[in-house]
Amino acid sequence: MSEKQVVITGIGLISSLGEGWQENWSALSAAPVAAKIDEEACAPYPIHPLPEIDWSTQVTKRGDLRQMDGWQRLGVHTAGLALDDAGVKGDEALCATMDMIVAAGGGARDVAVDEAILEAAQTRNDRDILLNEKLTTELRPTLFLAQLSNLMAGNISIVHKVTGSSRTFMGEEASGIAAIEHAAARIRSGQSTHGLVGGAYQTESLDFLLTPELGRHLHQSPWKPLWQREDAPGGGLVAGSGAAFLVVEEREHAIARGAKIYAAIDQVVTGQVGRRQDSYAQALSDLIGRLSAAGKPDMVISGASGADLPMAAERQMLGAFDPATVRSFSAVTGHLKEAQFPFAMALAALAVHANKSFPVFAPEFEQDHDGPVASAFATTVGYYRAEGAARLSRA
Amino acid sequence: MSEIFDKVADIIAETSEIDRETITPESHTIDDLGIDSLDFLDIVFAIDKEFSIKIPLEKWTQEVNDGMASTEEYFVMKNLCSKIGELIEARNA
Amino acid sequence: MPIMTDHRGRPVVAVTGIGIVTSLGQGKEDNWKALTSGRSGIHPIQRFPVNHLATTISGMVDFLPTSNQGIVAHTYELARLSASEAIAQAGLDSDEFGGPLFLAAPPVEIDWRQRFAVFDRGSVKDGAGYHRLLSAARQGNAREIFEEIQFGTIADRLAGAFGATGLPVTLSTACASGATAIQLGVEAIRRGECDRAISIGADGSATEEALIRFSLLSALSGQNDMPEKASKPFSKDRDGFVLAEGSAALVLESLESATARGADIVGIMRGCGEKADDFHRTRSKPDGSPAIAAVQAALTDAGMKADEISYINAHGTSTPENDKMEHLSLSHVFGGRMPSMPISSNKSMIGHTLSAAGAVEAAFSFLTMLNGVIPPTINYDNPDPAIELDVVPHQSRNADVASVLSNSFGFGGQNACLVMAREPV
Repeated sequence: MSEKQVVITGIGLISSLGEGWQENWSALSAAPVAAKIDEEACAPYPIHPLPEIDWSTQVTKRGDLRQMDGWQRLGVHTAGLALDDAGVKGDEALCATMDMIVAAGGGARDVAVDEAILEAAQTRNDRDILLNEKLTTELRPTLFLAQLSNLMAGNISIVHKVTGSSRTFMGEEASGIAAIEHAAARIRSGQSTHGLVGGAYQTESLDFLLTPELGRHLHQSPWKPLWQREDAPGGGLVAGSGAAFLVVEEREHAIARGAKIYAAIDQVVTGQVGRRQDSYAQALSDLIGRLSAAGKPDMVISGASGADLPMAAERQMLGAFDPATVRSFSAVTGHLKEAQFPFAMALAALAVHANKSFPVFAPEFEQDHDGPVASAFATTVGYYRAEGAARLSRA
Repeated sequence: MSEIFDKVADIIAETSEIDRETITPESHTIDDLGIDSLDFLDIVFAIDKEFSIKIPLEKWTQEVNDGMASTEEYFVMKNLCSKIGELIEARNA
Repeated sequence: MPIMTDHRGRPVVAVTGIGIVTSLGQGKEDNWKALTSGRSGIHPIQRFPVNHLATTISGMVDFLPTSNQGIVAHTYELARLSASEAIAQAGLDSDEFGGPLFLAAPPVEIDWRQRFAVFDRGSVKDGAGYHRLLSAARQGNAREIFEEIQFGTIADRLAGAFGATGLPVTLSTACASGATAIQLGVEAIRRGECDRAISIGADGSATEEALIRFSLLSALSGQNDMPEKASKPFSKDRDGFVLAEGSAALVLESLESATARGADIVGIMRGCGEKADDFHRTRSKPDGSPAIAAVQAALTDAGMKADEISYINAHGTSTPENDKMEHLSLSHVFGGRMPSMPISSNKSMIGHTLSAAGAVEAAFSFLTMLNGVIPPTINYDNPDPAIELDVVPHQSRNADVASVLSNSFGFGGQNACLVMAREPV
């Protein structure tokens, strides 16, 4: 079976820097990048908040919006941006045959109900019964659907009519890495001709911050540059709200319909290297190094999270590249969890497409660069587990 | 009665994106107003909260499914409101 | 020399090992015996008090030490037991499986037992509610819980325990998840990425909150008086599904590789099909077209015609909506043959094992073909006249079953179907 070429033909992005890839591109092209950091909303944790978004531009029915949690809205909206960008939104035949893989966490809980239960539990010694009493009467019946992991994909089907197939991967950063890996592998082998792949993460809820903080992974105010958090209070991770969706396509399929092509996805490597072993740094370098068989890239879009745990290994891995070619976008967007790898892929594709580097995102680690960008790596190292990287090139 | 109707109609209009003016005591919530099944669950939840009652929706649905009651008996606005009135009275009793 | 490639020139995918855990017991032998004798595993809930609950029965797996240890610990143990049984049957090394792992699992989150524990370790002076939870977390007082609430934990532990290769995938397509896990394994082998893969569906998420969430959506049966009678797929008085736990694992292997190492072949995974529904979050498009398309996609993928299917392992949840729509969709595909086509629902006995269901029912489908016995649909005392079907009522039936269609449908417009057969062609 001859291998097909996989290309990116649509990009939808949202981060604290703006809505749509164009706003993100211009914000990221201005040196120095004016990062949006909120140190109040979730104190003592700095976060990169969502920008103002008019949801009705992608989800026209108010009833659909009401039945989604903020996290689902963010994903559905960004998926719509990617479909628009690829010129497939509203194309019934293309959407009905489109394969979708969503990298998902879950939606926000009803924090008020949780807090009322925690409060009431202080004076009750029958907590099990209290739970039944409160949960049966206080939970809005459809809240479950607004939280459910696979309902981001479900809502994309409903709102954008993407119905070829619908799969949801879970597992923090790994879900985004595996989603890209599978979407590309399916196209390369002829199992699929075009797909929608991506994820979203919304951080402005104490409920969402609790998950990483139970492992003490969050950095505490004051905000510090990405590569200078190891000695600061907390675990180094600064979370951001954001989402990234890509339309990926078999090259001939894209050409036949006259689609604009951003970049080709040449290779994806993934792994789950044991973090506790002494050889972790070497194993990580070896994994990413597999992409270098075809030569060093002109640019490395690093998804370095800032988290203390893998930081030393990540620094060593990136050390194999010219510091003028490395850009770590979490420095200015915050860490986007499930969306981290799709976001890295999107920035790499944009750089290749524009044949142009970004200015430095993290001056403490990176250097200026003016050369052309014909190839780029996108990397993501999970803050607790999972690693992935891809090589993109001009198509 | 009209106070209950107004509150219920407000809840329905708010939840289901239905023009408040089109909701009358004669409206059938499902056949006329076309309320979505999931929205209906949230509407009942909001009504329960508003009036501190517990609408036995599953019992009603069962009775309708078993042919023991017509849908009009429970799901036409004026009938729904009068059932709500009975539940409020039972609560106060 | 058997045929090693299928009608499209792809590697034929065989199943060489199966493992099952449900409320009926641990291991395929016990499960099969119970299932074919029409025994129900549905029982009153013991795990937590049922005060205020509309549904007080379930098919939870209560006989494992992990039954009270939370979603991740219990789901992991269910998955580990079935995977270990499947790998042993396949005759492969139990700690060096050597292929990728695909896990269908429930979404995880901090549960109430854990939330209370974290809260109790916080201090009043740090504020109320989530501020207190976060402060306890920040002080490092609850680090052991972190690992328990990561979506990737179960698959990571399983991959480590069995020596699976690469980045394991954890997925959810709601109640179709188990079927999707199998589909991912089949696709990986067909792409030539690996000779074998292990697909697992596992669900140990029956907490009080999970039960209440489904109950608030009016999805569960409230027929608590006779638990073993509550799940009654295709019956007129069906009123919802019964929440359950379980797990199944299948070792998938290219027929070529399985044959080369002299493995016993359990059966062939002939085709997989899927199609998303854009109609509604919980309901199917009224014309059934997405489910029809999923069945047809599975048949096309298998290179088979509808009349080559001997038996259908139904999704058959016992909700009014599902059973009606499943009948409608299948009638469209199988036409006049539908009323006499044997179709049964394992859920009548084991309840709805959610993320695990597609894998559990695929495993039972293979046992059906191997043993020449169709497990029954129990509790079919009051047939729904609107859906005329041969549900193999009450008692199992001896039959020569050469191929099976297994359906899985889920919230969020998920439809996934599998076609399995004894032979590659």
